[in-house]
Amino acid sequence: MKRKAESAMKTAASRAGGAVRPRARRARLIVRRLPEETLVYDLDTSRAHCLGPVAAAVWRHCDGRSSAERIATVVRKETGAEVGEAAVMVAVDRLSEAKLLSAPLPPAGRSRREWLKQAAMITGLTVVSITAPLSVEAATCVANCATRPNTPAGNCGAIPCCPPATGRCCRQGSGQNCGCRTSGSCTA
Amino acid sequence: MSEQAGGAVVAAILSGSWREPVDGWAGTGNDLDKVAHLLLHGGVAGLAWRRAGESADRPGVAAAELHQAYRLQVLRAALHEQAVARSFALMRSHGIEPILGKGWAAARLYPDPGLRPYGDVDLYVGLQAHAAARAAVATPNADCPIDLHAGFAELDDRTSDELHANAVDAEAGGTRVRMFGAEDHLRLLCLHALKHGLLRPIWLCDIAAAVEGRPAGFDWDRFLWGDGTRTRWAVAAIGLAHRLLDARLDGTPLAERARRLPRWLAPAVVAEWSSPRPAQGGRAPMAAAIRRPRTLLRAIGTRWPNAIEATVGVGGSFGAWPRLPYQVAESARRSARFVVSIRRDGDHF
Repeated sequence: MKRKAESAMKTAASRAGGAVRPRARRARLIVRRLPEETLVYDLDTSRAHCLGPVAAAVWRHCDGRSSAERIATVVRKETGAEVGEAAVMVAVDRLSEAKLLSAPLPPAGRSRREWLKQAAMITGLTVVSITAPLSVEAATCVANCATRPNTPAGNCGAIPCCPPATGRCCRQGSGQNCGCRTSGSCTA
Repeated sequence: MSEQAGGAVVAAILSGSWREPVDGWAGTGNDLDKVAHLLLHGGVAGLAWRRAGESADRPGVAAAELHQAYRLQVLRAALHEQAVARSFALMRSHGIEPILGKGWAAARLYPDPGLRPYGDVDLYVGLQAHAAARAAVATPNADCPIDLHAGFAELDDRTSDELHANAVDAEAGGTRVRMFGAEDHLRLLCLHALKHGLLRPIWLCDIAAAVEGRPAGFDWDRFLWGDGTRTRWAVAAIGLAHRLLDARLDGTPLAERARRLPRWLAPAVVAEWSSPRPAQGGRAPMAAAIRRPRTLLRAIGTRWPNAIEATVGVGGSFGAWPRLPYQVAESARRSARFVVSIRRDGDHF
């Protein structure tokens, strides 16, 4: 099953990524490499991203000259992970979405969507946005408590709700948004 | 979990969290979930994640949140370092040599700059240079988040010359910056934390990290020198760092003095950490609440001084006496100041 999926991904990747020569964006980014991940802050969009080790390695080797196949070879050597051309294309696609490439990739065709779906389980390929938990921002009051998703935990903040609402913005039951609790503390 | 217990768990998680290497925390993921908002609010998410994020019995939402906050702090540390460099360049372009305190200077006490959150760049200039410094900050497109202090705040029992003579150099973003000497900075961290009632656990962690990470040749006499009441407060702050966070006082002349704390002091801090409220500067202005009775009552409630800030506010000592009179006196002092400001500034709200 796994081999079949890998083979399908390879075929699709060759079709979609053969001609792609991605170039990483370097300007106006702040990059910090940690032992298990790479953090990137985009000064243009004020967005922060966390790159898994494979995605980070792919990004480092996007020099505008190397093909996906070439990048896969280098990344495989560097990380020891079983990275193929398809995995590189998934990473490149995610990097493009995060605006970490100097030029965006052309819109995804049906085949690319397919291998993106199939590659979802590959570890280390993640490129995720980092958002601040509300309480880290030390807001004085929460204007839109009821529209904030319940998770992650600090998202509700236990911070007073802005008038006209009253109480503190607290976690509710799973699947619900945060809510203004008027009596007791958020931990009660 | 009771209100007090939350603060106690926060203290337990933070105990020794600044050390290299750090001991894992023996608590449970449930405990971590319950205090995650306190840790995030208290500016100690990075430290908590370092000590407890991977050692709790199960990975949970709280640990992920703390990790996320740590990641942001790593990036903000890099941004803040650039802001520090820009701030010094701006001041020097106006012929002013400020001294940096708290924030970035405190973060240098930790093994990783991402372990501490950042706010403004706290720059201290002597009173003579303040007008010029204020003009520099107001320069169009200055793009520097400077918190400019006129004079040396809690260190104004020392002269500008003394503070400059003891200041030390560091490098931020390729620029040489001037920071308070270790003795003056520890005293500043202690007095600033107490002035604000130790609302944020990160302030006590800063003190603990500064005591344990003091440079060789740290001059304790210099730390203790100055106004006697302030010195006793500063020693009490170090005592709190020892009592609540297990800061090691071996090799200091304070070990015995710092252990003699009034009974109410540590519980007052734990209670504060159990029920976070916005620090001064993070609250909605009192003036905005004055015409709405319900909002006004709540605003007064969030401003009711805790026992520590009340004692410091009225210049009292950390004795065994009940603190209520200090709190009432401090509240009255603040109210009077507010009324004076209204009369001075007119009815602009």
